[in-house]
Amino acid sequence: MDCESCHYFRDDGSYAGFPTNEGCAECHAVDPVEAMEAIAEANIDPSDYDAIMAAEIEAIEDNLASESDENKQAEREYVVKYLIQGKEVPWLNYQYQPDNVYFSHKAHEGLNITELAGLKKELSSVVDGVVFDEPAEQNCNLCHLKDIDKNGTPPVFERNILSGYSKMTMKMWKCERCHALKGQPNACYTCHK
Amino acid sequence: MSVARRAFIQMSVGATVGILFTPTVWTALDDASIWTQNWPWIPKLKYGEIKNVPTVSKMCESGCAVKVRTVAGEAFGTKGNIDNSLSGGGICPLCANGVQVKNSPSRIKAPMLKGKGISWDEAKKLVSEKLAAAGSNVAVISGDQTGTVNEVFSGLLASKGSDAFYAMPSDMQTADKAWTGLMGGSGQVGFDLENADVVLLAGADALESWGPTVANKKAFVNNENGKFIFAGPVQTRTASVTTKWVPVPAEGMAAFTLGIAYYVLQAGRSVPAVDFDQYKAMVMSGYTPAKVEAATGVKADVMADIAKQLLSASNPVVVPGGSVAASAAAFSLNLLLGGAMKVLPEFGKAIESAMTRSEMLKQDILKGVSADLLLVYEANPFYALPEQVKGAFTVAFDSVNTETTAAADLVLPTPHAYERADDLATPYGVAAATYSLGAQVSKPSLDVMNAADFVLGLADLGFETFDEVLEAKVAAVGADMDELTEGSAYVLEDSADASGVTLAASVLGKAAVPVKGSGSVSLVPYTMLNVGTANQATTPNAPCTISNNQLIGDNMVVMMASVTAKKLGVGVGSKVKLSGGSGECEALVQVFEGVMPGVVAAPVGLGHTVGDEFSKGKGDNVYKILTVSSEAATGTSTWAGSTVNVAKI
Repeated sequence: MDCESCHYFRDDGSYAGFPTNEGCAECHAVDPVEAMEAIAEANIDPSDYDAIMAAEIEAIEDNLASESDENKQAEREYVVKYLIQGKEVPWLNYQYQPDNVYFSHKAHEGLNITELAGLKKELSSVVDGVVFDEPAEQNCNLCHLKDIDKNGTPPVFERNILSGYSKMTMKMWKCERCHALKGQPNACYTCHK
Repeated sequence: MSVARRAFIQMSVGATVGILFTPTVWTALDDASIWTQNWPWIPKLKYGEIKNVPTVSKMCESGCAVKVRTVAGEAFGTKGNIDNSLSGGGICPLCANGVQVKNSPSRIKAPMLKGKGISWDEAKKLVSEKLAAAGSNVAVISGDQTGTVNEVFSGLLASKGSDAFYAMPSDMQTADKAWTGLMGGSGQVGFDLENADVVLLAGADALESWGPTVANKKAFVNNENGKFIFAGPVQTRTASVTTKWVPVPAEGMAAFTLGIAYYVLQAGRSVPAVDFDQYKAMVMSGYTPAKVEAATGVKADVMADIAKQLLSASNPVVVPGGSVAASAAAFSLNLLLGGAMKVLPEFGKAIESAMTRSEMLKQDILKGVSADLLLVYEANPFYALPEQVKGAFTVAFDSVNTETTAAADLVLPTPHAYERADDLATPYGVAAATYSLGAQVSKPSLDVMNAADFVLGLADLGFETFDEVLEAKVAAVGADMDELTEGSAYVLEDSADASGVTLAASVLGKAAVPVKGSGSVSLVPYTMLNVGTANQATTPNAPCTISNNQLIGDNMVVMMASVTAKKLGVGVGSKVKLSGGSGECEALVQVFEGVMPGVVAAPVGLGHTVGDEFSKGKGDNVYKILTVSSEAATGTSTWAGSTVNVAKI
């Protein structure tokens, strides 16, 4: 499974960001209606996740794609708690930006870590120097958690109790610093549309 | 321990300097400012894939083919559907506000029996009982002109041995009564406005409210060399962009049309209709230019000039609006001219026992409806026809609160157009038989049920769900489901057989004579889609587009020529009371020389007593003062020829 399976540019240039059940169900192909009918037939409360998982409902088990027990259990939890319930996964966003910030992944698609390495010192307060020392093929590490795709267990999500955002969410001055160094506009309307 | 003054000052200064140099305060302030952005009552944007989902919207009478803009499956805007010939990318002012209406607080949230909530099962049980008790004395009023949902309702009536299917008054009904009723035709009349070289809009406000308005506008724009002439009592917006406006009183439109037919017959035109000779004799003796001029005030040379243009055109067409007689007169003239009037076949039915469209249009709602059980589907007869409609037990199916849902015993909420599957077959006026399918765009947010699904649960019509009915309809039409789902329209270029059509000579001679009421001035109700229609009140974003010629504050505005105002002793801004029929309306006067002398023009669609903040209490309801009279010769009822008395207050 590669990054683009879930995080990709759509045809109109917008970025898919986090996957939705619609996308997830392309692989985790459990039919919610069929599964719910089977749960009802088995006389199980649809909100009793543990009971559903323990019951090993065929409509669910036969359609799990994972092979190892560990992965299978993780997939089962997703299917039972979210997919068949019609609930989207409440993904934790380490870099969530507020509604009043317009950020386009497409506009930043061409940034190259190797090329930016010359600004390592100037950007030291914005981007961890290690990112430039070990340039990845894609530029996600410039703003997102470094190599999170290689980390089976994501780091603890630390929420700022005042702002409500992740501790790692970039503040405006970081955006401005990079824009200034790259000769990009820093007018309010650049990001606040 | 005592603190010396000096030590205290030193400590204060030190603390202040310390605070200034630590980032904690500034970071906390920054975080606090962000905290204010996330107060729970501040609305959040929804993120996700943006799609343009094709569907149909039926807020206007003809219906619009639209694309609903969605983000993460949530509808947030509506635009025209460029892939569908009904739209060509355009959209009407009502349908443009589909999402705002879908999210309106005026939506009906759950089934209600006399104001109290009940479950769907209870509602079904109750209606089943009423249906059994009513026997064949059950009636349906539908506000949908083009949907297969009408087949479901008429199938229900058929199962009860009733034929009481009523449509709300419309141009489609008027035309059908003329074409299939008086003239013995079949199918539906259409007009190829895009390819006509001379178009006489004889009362049809085609670019504002008549027929498929959006398709008409596209045709008007694409028809670069065509000449459009508008005839009617008011210089409407349509008239403002046509080559010429010919002032003709509404009640005189049939006579005016036959006055033009006089010149066409004089030029030797004929048709192989069995009553052609009778028709010719009737027109040549009863509708001579001098007689028509005397009856309507339209100069003979004006009619001669229009006739000359129509005769010299290679593809002319006359498009009627108004009474049955005016429609029959225009259709007969079109047959003589042999131009761009089309006769469209009706698509096959999905439900065998259902009525044909023409059969559904036969009942005359203006003569009154009375039934033990009255089912009203997305229509507002208690607003437009309060005196005509009586039901011992009334069930209203609608998605928003209206005068009809307020008056009904049982209210059953339907999904909004974007929350259900629906279809749109050949709106009146289009040049070819056209079929479009409307997909469900978003999930219903309220406790609603498609009315057709509810009805299918009451009687065995051979289908379990409306989705199955639509599949059968698509098969009967012969269209490709995938193409329809992608938003394109299925267009059938075939023509219906018009070989046995007559010219309605025996009826037209009497029916075309102008008849009007006894009031001091003629009342011309006119429709602007941004103001509303009989079934649909104005929509949330539309009021800002309503001009001072229709509404000032909460007061309706009526327009009249200065000579009329002088005669009535009123001026610009005068508050007047209009009395007609059995009701009264209040309005402010606007003077506009684009209204014929002796005529007062009033916008329909205002004066709602139920609805949202955008429509309730705005202006007055013109339907209260329209006079229902019988077109004796055609056997139909009409509002044409309504008059009112005007008093300054």
